[in-house]
Amino acid sequence: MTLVLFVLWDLVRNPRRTLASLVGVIIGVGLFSSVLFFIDGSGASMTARAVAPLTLDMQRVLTAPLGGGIRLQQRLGADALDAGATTLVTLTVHNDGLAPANEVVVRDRAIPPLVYVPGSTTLDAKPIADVGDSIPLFQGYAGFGLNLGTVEPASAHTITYRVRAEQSIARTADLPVQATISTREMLTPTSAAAPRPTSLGQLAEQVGRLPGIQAADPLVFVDMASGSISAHGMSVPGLTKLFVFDATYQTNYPSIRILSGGFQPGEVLISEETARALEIGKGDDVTLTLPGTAAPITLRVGGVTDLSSAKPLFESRQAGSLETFQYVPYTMVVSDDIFRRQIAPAFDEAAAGQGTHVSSLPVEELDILVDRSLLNADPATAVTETQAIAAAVLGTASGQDYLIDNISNTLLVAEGDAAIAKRMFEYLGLPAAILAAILTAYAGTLLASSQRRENALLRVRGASRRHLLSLLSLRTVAIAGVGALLGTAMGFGSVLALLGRSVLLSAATGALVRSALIGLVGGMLVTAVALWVPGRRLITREIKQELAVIPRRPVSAWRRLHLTLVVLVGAVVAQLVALRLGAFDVPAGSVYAGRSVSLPLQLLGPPIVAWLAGTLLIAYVLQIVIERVAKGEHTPRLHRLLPSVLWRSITRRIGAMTGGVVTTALVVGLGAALVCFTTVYDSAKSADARFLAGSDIRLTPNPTSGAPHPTSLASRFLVDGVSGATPVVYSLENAVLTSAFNEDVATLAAIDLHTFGQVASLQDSWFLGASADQMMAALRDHPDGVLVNAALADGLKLVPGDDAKVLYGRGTSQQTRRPATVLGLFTQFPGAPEGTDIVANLDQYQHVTGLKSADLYLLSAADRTSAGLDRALQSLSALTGFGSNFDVQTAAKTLDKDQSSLTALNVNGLLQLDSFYTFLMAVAATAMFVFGLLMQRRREYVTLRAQGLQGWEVRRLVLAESGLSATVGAAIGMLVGVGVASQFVLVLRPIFTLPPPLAIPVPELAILAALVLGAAVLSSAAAALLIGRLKPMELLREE
Amino acid sequence: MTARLSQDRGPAGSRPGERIAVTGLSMEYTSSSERVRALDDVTLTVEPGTSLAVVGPSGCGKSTLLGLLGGLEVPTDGEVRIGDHVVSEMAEADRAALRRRVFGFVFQADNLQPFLTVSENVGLQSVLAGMDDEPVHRQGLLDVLDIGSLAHRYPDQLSGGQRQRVAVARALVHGPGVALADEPTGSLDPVSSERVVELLLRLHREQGTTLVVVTHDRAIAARMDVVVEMRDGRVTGSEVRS
Repeated sequence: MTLVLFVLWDLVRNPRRTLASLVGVIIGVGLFSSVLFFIDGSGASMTARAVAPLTLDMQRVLTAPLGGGIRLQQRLGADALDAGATTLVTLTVHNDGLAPANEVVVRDRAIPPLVYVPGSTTLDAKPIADVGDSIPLFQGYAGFGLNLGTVEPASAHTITYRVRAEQSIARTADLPVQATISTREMLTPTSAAAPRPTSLGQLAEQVGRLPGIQAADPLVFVDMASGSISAHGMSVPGLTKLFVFDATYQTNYPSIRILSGGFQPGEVLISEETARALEIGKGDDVTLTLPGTAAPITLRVGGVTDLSSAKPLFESRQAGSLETFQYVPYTMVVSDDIFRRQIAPAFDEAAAGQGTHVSSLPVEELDILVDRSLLNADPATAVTETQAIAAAVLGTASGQDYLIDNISNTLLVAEGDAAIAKRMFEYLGLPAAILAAILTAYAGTLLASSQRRENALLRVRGASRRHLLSLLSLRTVAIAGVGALLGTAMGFGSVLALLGRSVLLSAATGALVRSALIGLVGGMLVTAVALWVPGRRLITREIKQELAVIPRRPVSAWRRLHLTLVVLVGAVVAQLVALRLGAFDVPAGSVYAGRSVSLPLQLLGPPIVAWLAGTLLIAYVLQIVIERVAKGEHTPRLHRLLPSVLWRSITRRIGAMTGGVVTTALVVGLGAALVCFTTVYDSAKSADARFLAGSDIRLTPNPTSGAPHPTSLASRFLVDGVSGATPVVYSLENAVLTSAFNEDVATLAAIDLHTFGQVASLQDSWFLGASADQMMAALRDHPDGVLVNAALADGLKLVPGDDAKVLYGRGTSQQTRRPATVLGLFTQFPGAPEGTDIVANLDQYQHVTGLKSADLYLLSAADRTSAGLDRALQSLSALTGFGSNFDVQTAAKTLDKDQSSLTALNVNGLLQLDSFYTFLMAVAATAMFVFGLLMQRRREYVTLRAQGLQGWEVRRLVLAESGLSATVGAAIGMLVGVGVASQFVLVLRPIFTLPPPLAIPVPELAILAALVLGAAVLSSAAAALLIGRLKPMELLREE
Repeated sequence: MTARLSQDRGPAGSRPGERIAVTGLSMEYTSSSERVRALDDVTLTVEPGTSLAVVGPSGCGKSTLLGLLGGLEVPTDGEVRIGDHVVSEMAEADRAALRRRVFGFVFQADNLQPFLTVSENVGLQSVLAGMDDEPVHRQGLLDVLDIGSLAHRYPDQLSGGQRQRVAVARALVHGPGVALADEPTGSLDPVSSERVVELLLRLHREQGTTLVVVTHDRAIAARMDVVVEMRDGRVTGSEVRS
């Protein structure tokens, strides 16, 4: 107890010393814990980012469509079976629907411990031959079922077969049901155990009551024949789509906009395009032509809709093109009541009728929105929630449908990204944590050396080594404990300031508590060791009386240099090998592509090693050079007082200065690397966005607009704030490329060669064998030539110079196939997130097809800042009809599309956090170095003053030495930092679409250097002030 | 060894011993818990070229007096006059300039600069005093002090006695008017101690330097011209020895 009180009193009595020791611990633990808190806070934002673009959280698609009232029942003849006994399995197929079920396939087999009794199968009491030796209900390896053909409404078929038990079975009811049934109309096999179909309305009601469900809305849609909607003797000129939903659905999916009118009982909504084509509006009558022999029905128009952005309605449900927006302009929305009473029977009848053909049957689905407030956690936690919800949804009236769980699929990808993110964050925090440990150890050394005299006095008074070590342990625990506590609080506070209260506190409380405990306990342990080890070493040395005189210890810089060199070479070789093996060339992650980011984090070690070893190497080389110079005849004469004293002080104690230089260089190196990386990150994100958008602004003609959009319209967009505009013909699979070997459907971009290059930046690295300018020139000089994507060219065995054929304007009435020469190959082309296969000359395209419309316009802003973009958009919006005729996409908006959820990470925020602590450490390291010098050399300074040196001369000596240390350290740090940043960039390359180039932000680096030097000047000034306050006689008399 | 120490002075030449006059000198300072009066109305005069020993128990104010005489500290009250200079009223810069030329300090700890060789430690003081940086000049002094062969060694390569002799050389190299020694033999063995005292007295005799020695050692004090006894910050007695 006495020792504890003594230590506490000692810490309170020496506030400056205590504070100096605490600083390193607080900053170190602050950084460490802030990274943990940041990860917690970012988890929720990753989840939010991942699910934000989702149109539909879950879709439960019914697989028992109209006319498909087919069901299968299975029954075993015995409740229990002895080994060797046989029993009859009876399968009954019922068609309870109004329409026949076609291509009805029943599939079943006996599974152990039951075995099929060969030749026992019957259909409606008639034997059916086995296929091979197998049951005809499970044929061949693929297990094809028995096709019953068409099952008429209100009819039934019975299939039986016998099975023998190979062992006794207590309850046959416990055996799994294997029998399934499928039809042409109901492709997904339904189990024989499936309950009787539940109606969509009932299902919506049941699912809507499940916990975690925000909304469950029925949606029915069906593609109808061209011209199915008509009025005043006119029909819509294209395919028609009919939707069935109610006002609640429209409320839950606000992308469905009602332009006029609204949902009224007995009335329908029509799309704006339909209204325009038929020249009708609210209150008019519209006629819907039904399939089969049903008479057209006339309905009253209750309102006009704009569905051009209604993703829930038009995103593809097909696996091959899932979530592709497939807009149909001519649409009608009817209520469930109208659909059930007037439209569905027509489809039933048409589907059931002999000789009639219904190209498309209504699809019924339940669109489900998950309560997003439950997902306010990291993706791993959130996906557990959504999967539980999905299981509950599927468990409700199961067996007649399937569930598309978009939200869980998305979160599973985000979960992978989150795991990567955690490792990346920890990596980015690692160098700083290493620095913090170095600082703490440095502080520990200072603390220990400052207590030499006290320890000596205690020894004189009888304290043993054990007593001194106990005191050291208590002091260490106190400092590390308080420092870790304050550091954890600082870490939490700094993240709170950076992310905001709502974001950080949205993390799970358990996660935050866990991070706090890890920060506190981990930080305390690490810093305690860092404080205790130097203290113990010093006590041991004191007791051995090694400090009776301060020996001039030979500095084994050469030995250190060799070791450092070996480590550095190892790191460089590892990185070169990784580069050579293409370890950094991993595909970018994408939520849309269902692919997590794959960062080569195992390659993050070499940059850290290079950072440490590179800094040490340069510092040791400098030390050796200075030692060599100092040994020569260059020592200045003493009559040049300050320079000569300074020269001797530095060169003859270069080891001490090297320590300060290395510490400063490590801090600055990390800071420089972070500053460079931040710049690269920002510019790469911006470049990515611009690449995906094609330029700063991308205008796409609004599908609801009837206004023409010829290529010549581009010049109209050259308004204030817009420096260039170019038209582009581009749509998915709008061409076919034919080589001598093969042909393939392709996506062609026809560009205006006079303006495209001014608007969209083209990089030489995207083109193979020639520069971008050369490729564009070739396309201009040879209008009938094309540039081909290297991947497609490889598939078609095309090389530059080959002759090929291109089908221009595929799918239009003016499509035409023309010969084309392959002028060159490219790997990437801007403005096409979905990819471009062929680049053609717009003039040639228009010449051969006669098509004059553009699919999009790319515009470059005169000023690319957000203010400049706003100005350009304002000018554009002033154009007549601009808002209604064009969808505007900016580069920033584009970034949200097809990027990994990793981009949702606030990497910039983490870098700011790291930078903040790095700056703190830079200041702390410099201050520690200066005050360390002061503590070690205060007697020298006081002696110099006693000898007659002026106060300002002493101050200059302090400032010069610390300034030199800071300057050299900063210079080395900058050099190493830029090198390390280049490696950071390589590792994080998969986050970006375009390879990010290394950027060196001179102003930011200058600020960093100024901060370090400023800290050195301020610390020196403070140190000089303290020197002035020293009591000379006390110090000079000290032994 | 009979060489005169004054031979080794630089161009500045000999500086006669300065007269020290202390009048009503008081010094107070605040410790962690109370106000301490280290010196209380001390008045004394040391004639030029005189050697003075200040004796007394620990904490009686001897070292404080020495620090005030050397201009290292400023008194709370009273006056310190060195020759024509009223040190107690001078600014720090002026006191520093005075210390360069007029004073030479020797302490119990050698206080040598660890990054300078023996020769440079001594040479730095001579340069500070405005003398030329001529190693040959100080080498003579080092030879006299029997440390000439150690000129290129660093302090941590010397014994305690050798270091203290270097400290004496540093204090005397510029021929100061006043030499102030605070327990100069406190950490030395008897042989080294005798050698250092002998050197100080020899300088005092040959250069006429005024010598003030603070010591516990009555034997050393007995070798000075005047012995002043202090207790509780006051001069309680003095003895003039012929």
